[in-house]
Amino acid sequence: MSGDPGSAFNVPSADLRKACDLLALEFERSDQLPAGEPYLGQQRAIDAIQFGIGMECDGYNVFVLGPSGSHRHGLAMDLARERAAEKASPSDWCYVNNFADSERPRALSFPAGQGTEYRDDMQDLIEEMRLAIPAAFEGDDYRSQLKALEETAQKEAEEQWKSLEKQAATEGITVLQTPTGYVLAPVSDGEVLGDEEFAKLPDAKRKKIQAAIRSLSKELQARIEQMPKLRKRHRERLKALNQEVSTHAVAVLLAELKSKYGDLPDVAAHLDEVQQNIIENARDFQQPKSSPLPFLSRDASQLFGQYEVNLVVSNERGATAPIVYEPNPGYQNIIGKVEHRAEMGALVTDFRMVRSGALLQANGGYLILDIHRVLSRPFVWDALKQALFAKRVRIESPGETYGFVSTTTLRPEPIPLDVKIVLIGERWLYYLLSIHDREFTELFNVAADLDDDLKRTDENVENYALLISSRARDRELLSFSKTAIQRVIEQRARHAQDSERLSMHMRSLDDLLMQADYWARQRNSDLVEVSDVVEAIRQRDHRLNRMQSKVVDAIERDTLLIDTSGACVGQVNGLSVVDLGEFRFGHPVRITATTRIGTGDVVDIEREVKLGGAIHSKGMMIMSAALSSRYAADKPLSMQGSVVFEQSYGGVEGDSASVAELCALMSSLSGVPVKQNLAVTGSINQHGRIQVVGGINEKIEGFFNVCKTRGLDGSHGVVIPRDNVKHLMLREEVHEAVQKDLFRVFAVQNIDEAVTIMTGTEAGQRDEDGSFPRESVNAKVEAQLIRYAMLRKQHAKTDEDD
Amino acid sequence: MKMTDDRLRVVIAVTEFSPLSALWRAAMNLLNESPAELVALFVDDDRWRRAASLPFTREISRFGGSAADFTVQRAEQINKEAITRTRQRIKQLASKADLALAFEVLPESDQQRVNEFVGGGQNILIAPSSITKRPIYTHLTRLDCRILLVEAAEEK
Repeated sequence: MSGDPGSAFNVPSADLRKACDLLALEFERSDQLPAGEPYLGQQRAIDAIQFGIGMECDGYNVFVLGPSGSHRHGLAMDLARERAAEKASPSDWCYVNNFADSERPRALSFPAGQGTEYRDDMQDLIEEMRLAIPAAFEGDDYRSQLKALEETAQKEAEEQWKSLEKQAATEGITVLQTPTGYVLAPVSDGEVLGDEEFAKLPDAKRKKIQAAIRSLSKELQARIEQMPKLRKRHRERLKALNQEVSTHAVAVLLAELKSKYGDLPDVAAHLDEVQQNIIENARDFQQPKSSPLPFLSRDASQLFGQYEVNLVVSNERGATAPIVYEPNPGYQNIIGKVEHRAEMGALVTDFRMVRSGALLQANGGYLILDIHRVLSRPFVWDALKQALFAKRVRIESPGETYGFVSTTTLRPEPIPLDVKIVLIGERWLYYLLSIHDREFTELFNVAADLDDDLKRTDENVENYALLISSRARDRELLSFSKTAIQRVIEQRARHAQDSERLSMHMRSLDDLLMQADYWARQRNSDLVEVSDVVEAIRQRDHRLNRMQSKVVDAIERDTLLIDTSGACVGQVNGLSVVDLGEFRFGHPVRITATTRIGTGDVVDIEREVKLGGAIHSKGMMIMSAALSSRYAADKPLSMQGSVVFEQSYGGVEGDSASVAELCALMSSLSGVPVKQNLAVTGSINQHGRIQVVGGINEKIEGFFNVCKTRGLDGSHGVVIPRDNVKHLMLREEVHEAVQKDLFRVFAVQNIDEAVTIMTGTEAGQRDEDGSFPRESVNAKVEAQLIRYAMLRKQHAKTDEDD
Repeated sequence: MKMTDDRLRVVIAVTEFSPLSALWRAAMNLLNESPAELVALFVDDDRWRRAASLPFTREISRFGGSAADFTVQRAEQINKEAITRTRQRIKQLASKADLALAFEVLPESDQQRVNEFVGGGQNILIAPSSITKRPIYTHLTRLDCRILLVEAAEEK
């Protein structure tokens, strides 16, 4: 083969980096541009979210899928806001004391804004009662009636005794009191008779006295039994008096509230209960007497507390439906909680300590949550689903829900739930939940899948320029020059790893704009120029490329062995990409192959030592199959080959080195050396077709960096899959080197083209006889394989003879 | 105990259920008007013991109306407790008022000793109104002293 066999595969420099021209847009500074579409290229996701939040049916909650930084929250918020503006402000919710069962506070619903009013009204009522009730009980009327009652009670009790004593006296018997009871004893002349005096009495009289004492004892017992009834009757009269007094004091105060809230039946019922309770317990509200243990006594403020109103959801009258984003979706922040306070060493609570969570705050509106946070907080996912299925929120601690604790606490009445949930998360979480959680698919019927990139059409490029302008304006950045915007758009294509696409990852766009703004301000400019964008990119790479520089340094110092000149049999420069999340870079890696007579196995050393991933192993097997089908379709493949990534001590994943591995094997078999001033990347199918790989720009730049360090002389270059050309958005530096013929990029479609370039020797095509041209690489490979087959046959015969 | 000098004496006569606080307040009022010697006399009547000596006597509980034997031992026990309780309470009151107080227990039947203790002349006897129902009252009214009866509910 004469001349440069690679020249036919050279990628024109224009294809290495697709420039942005923006010819149709006439402007000098971005502030001259109108506002752009804020969610450019996301119409599919926008339609899905609008559909999801517009559907009023059960289960039509929304899951927004997209990577972090793709402006998922902003989009969900803006669309929810649009929809919320069409809806009225939902109800207020309060918890009030349940006088029948204080452990189960009652929930009251109010039209928006009225919950706050009711809370304030009840607080005012309490303040008034605090004065009015004690005053009613301190009045002269009450005191005189109370005194009369007490006198009556005393009189009734005395009457009981006096009549008994009188009856006893007529029969010569007296009633003696002891500390614990009464003794009936005979008397004579006012003196109690002892046994001696009693014995002197006539027999008939003694019997009569004893009979009288027995009879009086029974009467005494009957009257003693009667005493509790007398006391009870007194208490009832006292209670009736107290109720009469308090009814008078309270009815006036409550009448106005009953009238105001008369159209809310539950509230009216609560007011009735309040009135009834105050009347029944009115005596407790008097000013307490000082106690020797004041901390043990309940004061009136505590008693009045049971009439307070705990406003758990408050909405403004005339406002729109609420939109809540809960950044910390812990159980209590989502469902709510019952707080406790320490009192005398014990934890106590009441309806006033019930707190609502984000579900109730967003009730009637929209709740936006990050799914990864929801799933990582204990009990939240389950509780959220339960609430959505039940369409109500029951505020209780997870310990109680799951039966971990058995102490008595509050069980507030559940509140009906009507909320639209918008979950935001990565795609893999959506698919994981879809597969493993049936309830998820029932509840989150709408997926809004954000596009990662946008087709780079002229129209879209112009819209992208408008988007850049808008974002710069929104963030109060300096205006961008036209060339700066062009450079930003080119960088967005590189971020998309596709010269025909533009990345829609908004956070990285914002970062670039803000950093370019910073560098422009550093040079006291009021305009961001292209140099500022370039500086922002360079500085960012500089901040993140510590590991990359270590690798280049190791190659330069021959710690990591990479040849960039000469030729070597069975040794190829492959290309690898290291992904560090925010930053990734490529670097060359030496791939070597050895071959010998064998049974057709190609040993993947990476796999053997468990350093190779599944995709890498798959690539190796495909490459092995391609080798067999090309050269040993009608005879056994009688070789054994070994392939290894030299000096690779971490894992190897991906199939992008399969072209390099096959080149190394073919070189080893044919004895044709491989040029070391070239590197190659690409995956291969069983027919020898070369397919696209990822990270193509970083890989080319990785080899370029090493060659540049050692001095570019025009011989260096990289062989890439032809289908990857559309992905090329190389750095200006590489682009310029190619323009100056200091570096080359070759695009190939099959293994023969790659081998031809990598060895400088024609790979060779089979002629009509099925033979490869003499001296071609393929001919030498085939010859070697035939030789191995014959040798193997000879060995087999020798073994049989032996 | 006998009178040792001619000083005015205020005698607080108490029984087992006497309203001590009311009696004490009355005594303090008198002492504020003119200084006097303050003494307490527990009139120990033997009515409980006499009633208990009868074999058919029962004590009927004030709390439930149940009846139990009322023995001499029981009578003596509650009498002793009543004396002890009264002594402690009145000594406490005197201590608080920083007053010296003699406490004497005399059987109701021992009229001679009661006479000597109460004395005559300008001495004042303060007693609960319930004492009028007791046999000793007739005897006290014959003494040459002033009697001040205090109306108050008995402490039971």
